[in-house]
Amino acid sequence: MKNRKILLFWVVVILFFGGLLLAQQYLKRQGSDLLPGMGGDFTLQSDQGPVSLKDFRGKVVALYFGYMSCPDICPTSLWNLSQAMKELPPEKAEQVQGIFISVDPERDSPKAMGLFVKGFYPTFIGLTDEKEKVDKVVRQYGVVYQKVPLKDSAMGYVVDHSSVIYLIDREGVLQNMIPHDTDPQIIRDALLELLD
Amino acid sequence: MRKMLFVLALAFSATVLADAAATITVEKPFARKAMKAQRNSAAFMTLRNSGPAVAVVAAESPVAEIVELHTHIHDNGVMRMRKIDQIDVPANGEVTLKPGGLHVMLLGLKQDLNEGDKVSVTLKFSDGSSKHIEAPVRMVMPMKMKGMKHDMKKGMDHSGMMKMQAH
Repeated sequence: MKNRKILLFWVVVILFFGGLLLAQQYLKRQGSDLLPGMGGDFTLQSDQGPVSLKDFRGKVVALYFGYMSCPDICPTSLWNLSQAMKELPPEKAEQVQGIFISVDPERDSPKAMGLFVKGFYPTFIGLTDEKEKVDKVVRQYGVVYQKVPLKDSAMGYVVDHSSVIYLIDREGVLQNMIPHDTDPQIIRDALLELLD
Repeated sequence: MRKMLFVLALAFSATVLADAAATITVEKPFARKAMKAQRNSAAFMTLRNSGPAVAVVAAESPVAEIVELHTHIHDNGVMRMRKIDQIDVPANGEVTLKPGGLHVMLLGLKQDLNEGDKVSVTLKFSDGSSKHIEAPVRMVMPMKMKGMKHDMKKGMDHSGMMKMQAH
C-alpha cells in the first residue's frame, strides 16, 4: 500500500514534468502561430536567376521589403542587419541569409538590386519580379506598401511601405518581426535565438 | 565724432544684416553613403538658430541633379516619404534633420558617395540668404536603441502590421 502511494507520487511527478517538457517543445515548434498564417515560400528573380526561400533551408533568413530609391529607411534597415551579422561569430553569420525584396520592380531591376545589396553585406541577395509575383509575397508576409505619386517632386512617385525585418527559421517558418530601426545588437540577439 | 558715427553705423548695419546665414550654425552634417546602383541619397544635420525664426526653402548640391526637402511620416509602421516646401528653424531654437525624419534629398546622383568624400550642400533660407556646408559621407548610425524585441509579437494588430512608435 505504501509502495503504491510512492509509485503514484512518482507517476504524477513524471507526468507533470514530462507534460511541461512536451508543452515547451510544442510551443517552440508552434512559434509561428504567434504570426498566424504569415510567411511561406516564394520564388523571385535575383541578378543570378530565380531564388526561392526554400533554397535556404538550414539557414536563418532575414527578409526585408523596400525599394532602391528610398534614401534613408531601406539603407538604414540593411545597414542595421549587416552590422548585426558582423557582430555574429563568422561561423554563425555564414548561417544567416539576408534578402532584400524590392516592391518597386518598375524602377529596380534584379541586376541593380544585386549591386545595391552587396554594398551592405557580400552575401546579401536582392530580389524582385513582375508586380503580381512581388505582390503575392507581400500578401504572404503582411507587408503594406503603396505607390504614391508626388506631383511636385522629381521622384515622380514614392513607395510608402512598412519597414520590418522578418526572421525566418531554418525550416522556413516565420518566427519574428523586427522594426527596421532596431539596434543591431538586438537584431543580432534575435538571430542568435534562431541559430541556436 | 564722424568716426564714431561711422562705427555706430557699421554696428547698426551689422545687426540689420544679421541674416539667417549669420545666425544659423550647422552642426554634425553628413551625407549618407550611396551604394552602387543607388540613384538617391540624403543629407542630414542640425540647424541651430540664434536669431529670429527662419526656414530652409531650398537646397542645392553639385553631386545631385535635383535636391529637394523631404520628411518621413511614420504612420502606424508605414514609412511615408513626402516632399515638403520648407524646413522651419524656430527663433533661438534648432531643428534636426536625421534618419527617419527630415532630410535634404539628393536625387539623381552624379557620382558615387563613398566614405571619406565630402558633399557640398548650399542651403537657401527664407530671408534670401544662403549657407554653404560640407557634409562628410558616412553610413548612418542607427537611430535610437529600442528594446521592442520582446513586445513585437504582442504589438501586432489584426491586419498583421506592427505598431511602431512615432518618434
